[in-house]
Amino acid sequence: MKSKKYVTVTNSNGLGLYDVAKVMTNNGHKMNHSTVRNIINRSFFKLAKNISDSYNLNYDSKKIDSISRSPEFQESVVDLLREKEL
Amino acid sequence: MAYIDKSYSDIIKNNPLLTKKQEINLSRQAKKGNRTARKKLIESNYRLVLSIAKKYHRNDINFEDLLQESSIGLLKAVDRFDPELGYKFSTYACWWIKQAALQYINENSTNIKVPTHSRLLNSKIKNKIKELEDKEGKKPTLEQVSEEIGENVNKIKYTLKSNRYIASIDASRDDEGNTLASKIADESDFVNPEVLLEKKELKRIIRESLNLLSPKEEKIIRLRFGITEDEYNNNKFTLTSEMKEYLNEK
Repeated sequence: MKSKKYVTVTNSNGLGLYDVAKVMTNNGHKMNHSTVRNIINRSFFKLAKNISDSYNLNYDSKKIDSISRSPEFQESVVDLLREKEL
Repeated sequence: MAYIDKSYSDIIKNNPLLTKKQEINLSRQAKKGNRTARKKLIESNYRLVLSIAKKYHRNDINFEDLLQESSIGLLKAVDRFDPELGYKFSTYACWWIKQAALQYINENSTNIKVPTHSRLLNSKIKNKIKELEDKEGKKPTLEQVSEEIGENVNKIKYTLKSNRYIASIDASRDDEGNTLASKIADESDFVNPEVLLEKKELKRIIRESLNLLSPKEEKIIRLRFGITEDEYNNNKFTLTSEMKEYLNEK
């Protein structure tokens, strides 16, 4: 289990927040690492909210925020995205 | 005697059996604190220890250890034997040796320590079950066994449960070396259809959810988690050549 302290955790395949910021800046989207982190959090929030709505769970935004920040949720989503047979 | 320690067999060879008179004399001297007499009495009765240890030896017990433990019984017998009662030493010693041997077996034959009295009751129950089975031609009920042995049913149940044979899942079970673990079907690939359906549904929802993300957000998630185009064939998640180069450099 990875640390829950950090809001975005990643495995060795991915880039660090600074590196992502650098790649994005090189591609015309000027941003720093904090912006990358905020965008990732916002994206997972959107995903979690949509899933919650789809299952009629009616979670409040605090709960959705907590789910979207959890490493378990993020890893599960990423694992699903990795699978070829979708 | 080839499988026992050479020093042990030498002691047996060099110490012939004692007569009753010799036993009494040595024992009296030992009682007075004569260490040589005590030693002689012990060494002359190693033969008895060997004979009893052989009787109790089983495959799962180390014979050398059993012999040593049985010898402790002999030492106890030498210290406690009263020559004035007029009995032969071996008559008294054999019970101490048997007790020591059984104690060792009970404590070391399985990984779980079960009290000796429970082991003895278990063997009594098993013998009674076999006896009743032979007599009546069918397996007796616990009530019948309880009546015959004079113990209550719950105690019999508990004793049988606590003395069950323990098999290691990794232990070799046959001549080909197949283990129990290898014979158990590997169901790690088995997926419950309901779970599979739920998973598919969840995947569909996540896929739909991805449309909610802007191209910039998608790119960032993709970079952050190392999801490449090859792994996930989704046109919305394409890597630019610069990004690919950057990833390769890393």
